[in-house]
Amino acid sequence: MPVDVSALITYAAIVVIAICLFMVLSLRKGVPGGVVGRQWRVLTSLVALFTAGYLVAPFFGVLPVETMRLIVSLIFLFGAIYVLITVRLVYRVIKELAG
Amino acid sequence: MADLTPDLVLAKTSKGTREIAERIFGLDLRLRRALILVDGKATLGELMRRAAGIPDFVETLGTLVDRGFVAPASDAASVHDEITRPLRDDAPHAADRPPQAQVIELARQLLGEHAGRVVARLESGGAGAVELGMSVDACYKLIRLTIDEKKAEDFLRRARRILAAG
Repeated sequence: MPVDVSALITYAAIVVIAICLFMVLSLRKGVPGGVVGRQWRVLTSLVALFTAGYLVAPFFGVLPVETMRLIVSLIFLFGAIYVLITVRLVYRVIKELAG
Repeated sequence: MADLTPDLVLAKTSKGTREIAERIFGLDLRLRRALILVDGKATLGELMRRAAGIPDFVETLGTLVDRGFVAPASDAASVHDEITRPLRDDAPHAADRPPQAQVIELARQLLGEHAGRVVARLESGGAGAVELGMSVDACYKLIRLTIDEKKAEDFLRRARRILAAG
């Protein structure tokens, strides 16, 4: 029986993003505000968005090509924003701790 | 508790005035907003119109009266009593306590339910002047990063005052 590698990777991605969602929501109580807390709310929203996007991924085959391309490009865009916020956050934390 | 009739004029006690200036008793936002409105001139009816956005305003004022932040303006002597008694009751010999205990109390008042990690850091950091100074700096960063930047500034300013006095 042929193994659908891309489907396996997609399911693995869904599991990982679900763990991420659980973690950001759990940790949110520990950072109610401040420099980290403010950014954490944005990161939580992005992870929720990714989770929704990833959950749609197994149905890509039945979606119109244009819709699929739009979803993928949006995931790329928000992924880049996520990385930018994370890098800035780490930078700010290091700056605060060093200051 | 005073009978809160619409024509009653309330004034801040010195405890209330001090709370506005220094936030030493850590009133929550609802109580603080109500306290700010009390000016010693407006009647309760006028205050209720001004405080349309504050839920349960009369009950909130009742709490402030009970806790000695506000008293009827017509009774000057009673206001004076309200001024001094709650201060003594709520902050007994604050200056006599060790600086570490004062800073921990400050953190509890300022941060409320979020004080846990900060208090733990202060307790584990040692009571000596140098250690306490380092703990205060570390807690300032912790509050600034994870709780509230304004409260962090407030904490640092007041903790340093305690350290300087100790």
